[in-house]
This record gives sequence, C-alpha cells and structure tokens, in this order.
Amino acid sequence: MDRLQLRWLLFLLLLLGVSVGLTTAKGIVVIPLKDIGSIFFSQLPWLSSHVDPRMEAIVLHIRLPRVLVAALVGGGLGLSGAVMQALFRNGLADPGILGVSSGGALGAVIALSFGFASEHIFFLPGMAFLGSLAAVSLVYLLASQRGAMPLSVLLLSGLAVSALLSALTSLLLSLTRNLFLLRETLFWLMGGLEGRGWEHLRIIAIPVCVASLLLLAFSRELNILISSGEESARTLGIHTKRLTQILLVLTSLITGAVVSVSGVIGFVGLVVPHVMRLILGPDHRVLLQGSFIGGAIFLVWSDYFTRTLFPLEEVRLGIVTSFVGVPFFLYLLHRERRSLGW
Amino acid sequence: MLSGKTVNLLLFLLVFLFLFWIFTVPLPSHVRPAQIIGPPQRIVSANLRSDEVLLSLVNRERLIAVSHLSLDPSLSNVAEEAKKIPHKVKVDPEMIYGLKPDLVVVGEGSSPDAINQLRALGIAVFKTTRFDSLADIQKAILDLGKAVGEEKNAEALVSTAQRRLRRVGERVGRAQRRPLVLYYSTGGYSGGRGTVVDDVIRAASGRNLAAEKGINGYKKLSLEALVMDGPEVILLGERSEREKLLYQEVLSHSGLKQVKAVREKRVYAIPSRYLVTSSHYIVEGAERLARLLHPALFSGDPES
Repeated sequence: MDRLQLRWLLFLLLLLGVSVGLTTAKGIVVIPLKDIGSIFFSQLPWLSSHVDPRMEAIVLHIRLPRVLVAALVGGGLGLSGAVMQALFRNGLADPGILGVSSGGALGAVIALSFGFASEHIFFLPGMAFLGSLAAVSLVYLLASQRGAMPLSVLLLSGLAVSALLSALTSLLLSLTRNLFLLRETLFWLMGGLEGRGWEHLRIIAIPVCVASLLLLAFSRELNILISSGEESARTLGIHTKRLTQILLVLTSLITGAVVSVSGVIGFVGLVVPHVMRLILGPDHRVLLQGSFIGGAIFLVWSDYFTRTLFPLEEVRLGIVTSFVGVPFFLYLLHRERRSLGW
Repeated sequence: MLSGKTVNLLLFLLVFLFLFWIFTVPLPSHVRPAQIIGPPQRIVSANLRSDEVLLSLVNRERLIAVSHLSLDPSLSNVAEEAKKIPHKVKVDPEMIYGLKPDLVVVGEGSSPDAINQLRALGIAVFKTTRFDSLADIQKAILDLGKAVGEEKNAEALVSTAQRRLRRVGERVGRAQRRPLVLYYSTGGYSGGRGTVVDDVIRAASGRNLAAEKGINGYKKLSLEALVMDGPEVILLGERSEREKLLYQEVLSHSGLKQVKAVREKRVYAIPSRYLVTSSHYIVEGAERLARLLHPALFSGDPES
C-alpha cells in the first residue's frame, strides 16, 4: 500500500465524519444551524445550552443514534462483503449468501407474530440474531466434511438453507390472520431504521466494532487467498480451513448483528467493496478499512434520503440501496463483458 | 509518519473512543410524561381509523395532526374534515415529536421501535387494539374516548351506532330468507369468521359464504370455490379503478356465468371505506348492504 491510498483512507474517514454531522443537522423538523451548534457545544461538560430541550431531544436522541446505527450497519455490511468476496474469490459474493439474512428474517417474523415486540425492545433484534446464528450454524454443519470445507459445498449449502428459511418465512406469513403483521414484516424485510435509538446502537456496537477490528488482522491472508488461490495459500503456511472458519464466524457475527437491527438491506455488501476497489485498489490492507468507511457513508446518506425525500411515504431503506445498487451492478456486468470481448 | 501502522492505530483509537462515548452518554431513559392536568389538548392521530373516530369525538382544536391517509377519499371516511387539520403525519418519531403532542394515537402494526422511542422521550402513546368484530369496534371507541377524556361523547357515538344497527336489525328481521353472500376484494381475499365483514353481513341478515366454509380471518378464495358454492350475492369493495375492473371481470368471466349471483345480476359494489373501516362508519356499510340484500323491505324509503 502506498501513501496515496492511506491519504484516501483518511479523506474517507473525514468524509464520514462530515456526513454524520450533516445528516444529523438536517431532517424533517427544521432546526436552525446556530441551534445545532449550541447543542453540539453544550455536550462539553462546562457549557450549557439555551436551546429548546425538544430540539435537543430530536437531534441527540432521535437523529444522532439513528445516523450512527446507519453508519455501523453500512460499515459492517461493506466490510463483510469485502471479506466474503475475497474468501469466495467471487465478486458477486454478498454477506447474506450463507443464510444470515434469511435466518434473521425468520427470527424477526417469529418475534413479530408474538405481538409484544414493542413492549420489550430487545426481543425483536434478539430473535433475529438467534435466527441468523441458527442459519449459519446449519450451513456450517451441512458443509463440514472431514478435513476440509470446500467452498463450493459451502455456497450450495448457503443457497439451500436460505431457500428453506425463506420458504418457512413465507409459510408463516401466509398462515397468519393478522394483516398488520404482514405489513410490519414486509416493511422490516425491506430494511429500515425508524425508531432506532441509543439502545440499538449499544447492542450492535461491540459485536460490529470488535469483529471488524479482528477482521482487519487478516488482510495479509486475504491478499494471498485472492491472488494465488487456496492451494498456494496452503503451501505458504496458511491454515485455510481454520482461516475460513474464523472469517465466517466474524462476518456472520457482524451481519447477524446488523440485520437484527436494520432488517435486510441488499447491495451494500455487494457494491461498496467494488467501488472501494476502484478507488483504493485490491490490497486488503486498505480495502477492508475502506469498505467499512465507504459502506458507512453510503448507508448514512441512503437513510437520510429515506427520511427526507418523501417524508410521508414509506420508502424503505432496502429500496433506496437497491435503486443505487442495481444500476451499478449492471455497469459492473457491462464492464466484465467488455473485458471479455463480448 | 503516514504509514499503514499509524492509520490502523488511529482507527483503533477512534473505535475505542467511540465505544466509550456511546456507553457513557446519558440516555433520556423512560421519562415520565409530564402530568397532564385534564384531558390531552394536543392529540396526534397517526392512524386512519383513529382519525375517523377522533374527528367525531374531540373538538378540532385539540387534534393537531391526522394520518396522511386520511386525505385519500377512496380509503377515508373523513377526507373533507381532515383537510382542516393543520398537520399530516405517519408514524415517524421525529415528525411526531416535533409537533409537541401530549398524546399520540397509533394503530396496531406501527413500528414497535418508533413507539418505544416516542415513549422513551416522554410522549404518551395510545395503541389501538385489533378490530375483529363490531363489538371490538365499539369497545375501541369507548377506550379511545377514555384516553382523550371524552367518555360521554364516546358513549353517545356508540349508542347512536347501536341504534342504527338495531333499526337495520328490525327491518331485516322480517326477511324471508338470508341470502348467501360472498365478499370478494382485489387479490381474491374474503373475510371469514372473526372479521368485521362477517359481522356486517350477519347484521344485514345475510349468510357469509367464507364463514360457512369454515374460514377464519381474511383468506384467499379460489374462483373454483366460487363456482361450486354458488353465492346468491357477490359483494365487491369499490375503491379504485382496479376494483371497477374487478366488477366488470366478475360479470363477464365465462367460468362464472353459472353462478347464481352473476345470472341474477346481484353483483354489488360498495365503497370499501364503509366495509373495511374500524370506526363507527362501519354502520354505513351494514345499512347499505341491508338495502342491497333485502330491497323489498326497504322499498318506499327515500334513497340514501
């Protein structure tokens, strides 16, 4: 990695900070800029603010935690996507391919059908997370063979388990009498961050941050994996099965935690690593950090547009990311075809 | 010096500081709502059915916002009155909190996180319950009346509704027979036992085909079932261009020509907002249906 890449990383970090600031300052309720400044400065212990406590509550307790959750969710998905793409040596890999998203969705539907998700704030994310864990464990069990965990088997198991869990989820939904449950579930499945506050931030912060930092330690191994393949990696002394297991555990932890709080948000894990590769190059020693930060910026702004563009409509977060993701995906496909000479 | 190590160290430090900060920042923690002296004066209704009830229960000045759906004449029974309410909302904590309400009324099916967040900020949130029957609707009106301090008005609203239903009952009680009715909405759903539509059909002295087939709740019915069961009356919700198309479709579908309702041209459309509402406006649906099912008992009445 060179100086330029590092400068880019620092610039992206700065961009993230600015994005968080801007999207917290602006929203549906118009709060004048000088009040925002007051609120910000009054956080320092020796200053006090003279701002309407309601405005302070909106900025500090409604918007700020939501923006921070968006950053962690986007970052987690971006980073997991980059790791998955390296692990599977496939640019189409996405954090959800091993059943994490479908497991989370099933857990969420079960939680929502109990009807008291609003009384106990951790019930819904808790059940969703359990669902994700169960799904990944199942995939892992199915794919484990003596001495090796072939990637192709892993992928197929992931596909099969995802399909099975999606079918179960659809079955549960079709049997329900409660039309409101259908609507609530559908909205959850399309992703969204309304009402996500400090509690949600706290429950995902440690798993996402710790697991992400741990993943950074494997950047060298990922570089080798992706450039030389599994065989060469093994001859270089890398314990590929162990590596695969560790990477899977860490990315599943991140993705499971993230999905439990935001629902299923597609395309972030797929698109962000590719964009960051264009800017930073394929070296994972900078790409991993870049994918996190890039994913965070992407989702912070996507959520901002969700809240402000059509305030009275239910434009779900997953829809916005798809609208950006699909054209980009098609562009990638187009480039692939060009380079193959089609 | 700018190197990979320093950048990573910086990131590590930032993450550590971030985690420290978010676990030590003071949370609002469930703030007890300020004790309201007397009934709520700044009510936000974020749900169409409570919009309809509240517009009949409280003085307009006390209702500062209604749901954005209340303006849609195909869904809402109060589209005109809703125009006079200053704000329109959906269940969004920032939007609602910014209006400084002292009571927010939401429907079942609103985002649990949004409700939690409003409560954590000290806003009283009243969540309406499921409506599966006419009795449920009446209870819900009384509960809502209590929540906004208008018990007397709520009781009056309910007794008016009950009186109208009784009048319908007296008329149709004289019916010779109760026709078999199929309620069909777009998507092929029908309402069986334990739905408001079921109660409405029975109140109008009809037999609900979906209930007699043992269906609970809203379920899809296949066209084949339609043909085999031969309803005498088909009731469609008329809401939009799509539903008018459904109406034409049913009348002209070759497979349905043998169905009694189609042969005798007893396929009726009633505005959906009278049939699937969960407010006192449901009584309108019962009255209209009764006229359609038993025209002979209502002949001589002025057209409503």
